[in-house]
Amino acid sequence: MNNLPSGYHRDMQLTKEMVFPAFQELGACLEMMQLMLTSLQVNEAVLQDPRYAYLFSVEKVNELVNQGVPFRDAYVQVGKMIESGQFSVDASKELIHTHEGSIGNLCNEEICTAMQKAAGRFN
Amino acid sequence: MKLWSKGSANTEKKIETFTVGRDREFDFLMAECDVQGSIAHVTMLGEVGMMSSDDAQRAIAGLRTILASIQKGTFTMDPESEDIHSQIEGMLTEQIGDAGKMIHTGRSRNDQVAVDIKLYLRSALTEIKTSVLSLFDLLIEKSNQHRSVLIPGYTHLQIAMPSSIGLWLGAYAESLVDDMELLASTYRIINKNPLGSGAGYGSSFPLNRKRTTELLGFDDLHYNSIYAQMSRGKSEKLCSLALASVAATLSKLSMDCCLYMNQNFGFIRFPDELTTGSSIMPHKKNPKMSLN
Repeated sequence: MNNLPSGYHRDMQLTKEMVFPAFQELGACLEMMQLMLTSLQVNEAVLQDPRYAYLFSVEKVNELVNQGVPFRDAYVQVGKMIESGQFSVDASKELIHTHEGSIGNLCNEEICTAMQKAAGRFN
Repeated sequence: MKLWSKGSANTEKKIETFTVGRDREFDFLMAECDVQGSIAHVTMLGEVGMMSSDDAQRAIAGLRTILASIQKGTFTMDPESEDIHSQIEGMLTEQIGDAGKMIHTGRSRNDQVAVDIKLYLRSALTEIKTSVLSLFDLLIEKSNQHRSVLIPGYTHLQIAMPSSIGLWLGAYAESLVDDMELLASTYRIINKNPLGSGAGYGSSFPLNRKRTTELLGFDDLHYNSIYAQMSRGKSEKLCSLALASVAATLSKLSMDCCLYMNQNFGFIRFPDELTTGSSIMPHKKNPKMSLN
């Protein structure tokens, strides 16, 4: 289509064979995803498995930084703890993530506002 | 008999089959749009005096009858018709006589089809928009519901930092926002009227293109007749791009689901009725819906 000069060409009749079924397929995909997510079941205890302990290495570094240790030193300190098998996590400790878009501040309301704005451009 | 036939010998059947291709089958989907386009065109022809008010009224009434038969599902295509446009014009002429032969005044099949495609894409995009919004709402709902459920986050597929079901599902909600931006931009480009551009070089008849634009509920018209024709192909391409963007979001989410429901991960589960089994392995519950 791109390399055709202006003016009508028979090639233009071929596009609907590609695009029309694509709409139907995507519509079906959206419907199936809707159905799947509706019945989504979630395992709430995933992180109780000790294999995930190192997920919290950055938390540990940040904790030391909050105590006044410079970041690079804290990084090395935690790295050494991991290497020597001394790293442990207090699972009962609550994670505090506060910035926008973090696990403690999802900003879902802001995302909803953005969606309303985008969908509003349809007219 | 073809619309463009001037009485010469019939086109050879083989050539016809070859040139018509799959048009008839896809044209059928545009039947409703074709009649709507014709009603607008005839209304305008009546108003500018290219058809008498009587003829225009009769043609519109006839077209409305055809529209009703399409909506009821009783409309069928004559295997001899070259395409939907000849079929509808032929049916109308059979129904109301000579007035039916006037409806194509100042119009080419090129702008007729261009407007049909625009109307079809416009309504198809609107349907996709509705489905995307409903999936978005569900993602947000589930994200809020499971906001405190922690799961691992990964980089290079190796465990990285704590994530949550809330963060994970919210990501896909936000991805749909950007997909919606593309859908909306596409819609705004699609929502312009090419009718009246004729074969691509306009007409010497005093057509009122702004009137058909208004009648068909388009936001504006494609002013330049050559560009109006160029919108064919371009419109379809933009739609494909927007659809592909939504599809990519769904694809990534599906792949996450396959991974997270995997027995080695076990973060999420789906009820048995959403999974399929294996012909040899009795334990299997495959995420077929995500894999397709």
